[in-house]
Amino acid sequence: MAIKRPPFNDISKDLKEPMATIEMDDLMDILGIDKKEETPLEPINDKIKNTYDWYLDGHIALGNLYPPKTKEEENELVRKFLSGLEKLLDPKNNWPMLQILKTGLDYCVRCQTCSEACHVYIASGRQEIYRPTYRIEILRKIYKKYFTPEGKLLGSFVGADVDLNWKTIYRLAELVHRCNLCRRCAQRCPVGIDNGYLAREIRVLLSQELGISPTEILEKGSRLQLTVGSSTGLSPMALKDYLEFIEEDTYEKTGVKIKFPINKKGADILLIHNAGEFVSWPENPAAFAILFDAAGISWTMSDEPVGYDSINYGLWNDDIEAARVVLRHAKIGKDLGVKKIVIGECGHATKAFCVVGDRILTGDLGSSEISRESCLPLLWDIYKSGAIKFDPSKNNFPVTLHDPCNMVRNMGIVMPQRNVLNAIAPRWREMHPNGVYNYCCGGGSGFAIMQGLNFPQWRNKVSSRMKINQILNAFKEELDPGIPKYVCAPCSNCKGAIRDFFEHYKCKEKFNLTYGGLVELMVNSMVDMEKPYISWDEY
Amino acid sequence: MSQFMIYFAWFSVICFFVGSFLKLLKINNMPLHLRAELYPVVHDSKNSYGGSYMEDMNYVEEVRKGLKNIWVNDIIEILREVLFLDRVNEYNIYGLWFPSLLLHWGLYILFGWLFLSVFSVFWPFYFLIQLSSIFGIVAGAFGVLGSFILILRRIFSQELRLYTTPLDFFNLFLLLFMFLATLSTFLFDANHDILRYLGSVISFKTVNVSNFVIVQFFLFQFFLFYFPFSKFMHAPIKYWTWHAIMWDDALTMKGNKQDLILQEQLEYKQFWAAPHAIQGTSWAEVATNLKVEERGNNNGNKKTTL
Repeated sequence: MAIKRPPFNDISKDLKEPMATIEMDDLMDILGIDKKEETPLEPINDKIKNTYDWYLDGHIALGNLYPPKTKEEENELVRKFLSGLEKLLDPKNNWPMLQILKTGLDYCVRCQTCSEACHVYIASGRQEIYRPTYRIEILRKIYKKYFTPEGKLLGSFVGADVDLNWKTIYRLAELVHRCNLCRRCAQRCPVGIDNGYLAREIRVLLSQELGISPTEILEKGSRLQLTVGSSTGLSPMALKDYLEFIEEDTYEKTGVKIKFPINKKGADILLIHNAGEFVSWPENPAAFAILFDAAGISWTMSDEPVGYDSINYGLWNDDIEAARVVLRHAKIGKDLGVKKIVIGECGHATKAFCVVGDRILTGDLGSSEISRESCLPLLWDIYKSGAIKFDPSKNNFPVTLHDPCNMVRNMGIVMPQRNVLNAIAPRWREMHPNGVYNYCCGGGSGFAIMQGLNFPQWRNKVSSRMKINQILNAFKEELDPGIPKYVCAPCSNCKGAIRDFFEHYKCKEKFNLTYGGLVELMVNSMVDMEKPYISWDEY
Repeated sequence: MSQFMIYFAWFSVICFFVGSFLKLLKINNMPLHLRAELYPVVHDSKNSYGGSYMEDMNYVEEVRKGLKNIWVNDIIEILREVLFLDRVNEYNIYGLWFPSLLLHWGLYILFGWLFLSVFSVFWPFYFLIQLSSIFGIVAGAFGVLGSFILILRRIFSQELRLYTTPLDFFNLFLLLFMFLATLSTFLFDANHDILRYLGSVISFKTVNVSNFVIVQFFLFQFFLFYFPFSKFMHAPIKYWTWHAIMWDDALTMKGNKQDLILQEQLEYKQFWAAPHAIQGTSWAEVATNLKVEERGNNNGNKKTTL
């Protein structure tokens, strides 16, 4: 056993070994998977050791963060961090989150009631550094030391006892990328402190002041989306090719002709997908098109830059980028004159646009002027309308439902997807816990798209561990690979995480598991579909 | 008893009320935050399973018509936590619930004791005095037991000790001594001086009282004075962390008060310094603009500026 309880000050010290190391023996057991048969942990390679500060846990999420070369660079980092923290505490620079931050910093009673809610902490074997309060306690110590009279006066007596140097900043930056921001911990806090959002505040400081963010989230995420049009790198012209390919491919596979409507002025609905769907799961936007056309819905998509990619990575670390994207989406919808904008199966995008955007978009772009909704209630409405005939027996295989944190815990959209499954999937069952208490897939807050260095290993072994265990438990009577099983995950990021950990744990070979969205299941059970829509061989 | 204790009594009471009020006012007056609700939102009519109005198609229309929110649920849920520490009971694995419950009830009953005692100064009925004594003894016993067990837990649990600062121990020892002094006043038969002390504070006339009473009230008054500046404020803070943040699901409608507040906040200047931010512009400006060199940098010949 290697559970370590490193004192907080270790974060700023020269260390000989990481503050915590991941070892197989410590990790939580998974039903049906013997640890000895799991892909073994890769040792930390020389490239990482020689290039990065790897002393948090031997894993690197920020592959673009190289140690400073000179003392001046070190001092500049510290200066910028403190300047960022000062802005974080300022009502004008941080009006979006100040109340949440200040109450969180000042009134946590350190009872650790939240800890057992955290899938990362539990799956890791309860490594101290992953406790939801650990990273926030470090921030609190820095805040007290530099920004409170009691901290300046009484120092370690009030807990103002962490040294701030470049190592502190780099390890803290890594540490906030060991939290999925799922906010399950906040549900349990007796005081109402939100350690998830506090971790996000550290990310905001790093991104908005120092430009520190995983490449996939900022540079190749929001930046690419705002300058090229999509975080996938898809330009409007490339999008056109993709859509044509999906139309042809759908016809070849199903015999159904679809045509994605583009920039149709005055349509009822502007549908915005996570552009990752076009690239990785084209059957998902195709299924939407099949359903919408069959239901007689007046809808359109946009080929304006940003307008064909619903993602909003600012949700995870940057209010400026978040505001830019929601504003762009809303303006595109307004220009098209649609009645409402619906986000496809993507949790973070839905929350960013519908919930966070609700307090960024004002006046003529306010919620009352152009409605913004999740696709899930619409899908249930399509079923209820009776416009499409469904045959549930076409979905006669075990199905379980993953609740994306952003749409369920963070938006309260719980029943529409369940109502649909009750109607079209006779063998579906809940995983436990579920609904607003469900566990994150392990890919939340950007982890699903962060593929650099050895971070995917950490994600698959630790942050997604609870989810694979939940899934296997949901199917525990039918683990036999002779029975095909479907994990319904109506969220692009969740699907990305599931794709990776299914591969990591060899779920296809061992358990015949596949995954997909809700729309694919709906189309699969449509009476008018001559061939099965779900392909069991691909994932 | 010196004049000091009389003035300190009034000073501590004023500090308690004014300090707490100002602290809470400061929190209340912070800018309107982005929506950060977390479900279940207890006033939502679908709170039994954590649902929300966003489960409905055209929910904006439903909001416009008026949601059937059950606002009393907000109060009930906060009271459940304040009175019974429900979440600690259900989820805390470090054995903190029972001693915390004792300590919290010790405090509530202690305030009840003070209230009854002040009442007894004006209306010295036998029943009232006896009742206040019972409150005092129970408060003392609960508080001593609760704070003592909490101190032990925080010393002997490796996990808790890591997070417990000397100030946290100071707070717990303050409570322990305060409750111990309260209990001692009754155990050593000095409680008859309590009303005399309170009477002297009210009338500003010094009287001689037992040292037990002086110590008891000194600690209690220090607690009152210290309360607004300490983490003890976590009790009233729940109204904001829960009601005003975690359950704040209010939708912005064009022209409503929230909309106007947000428009004002969007005009705040921000000075974030990362390369993609534009220092010194308002939030509205930074949201609608990219840096000049980033504009039009796409392969699709479409505009990307906002």
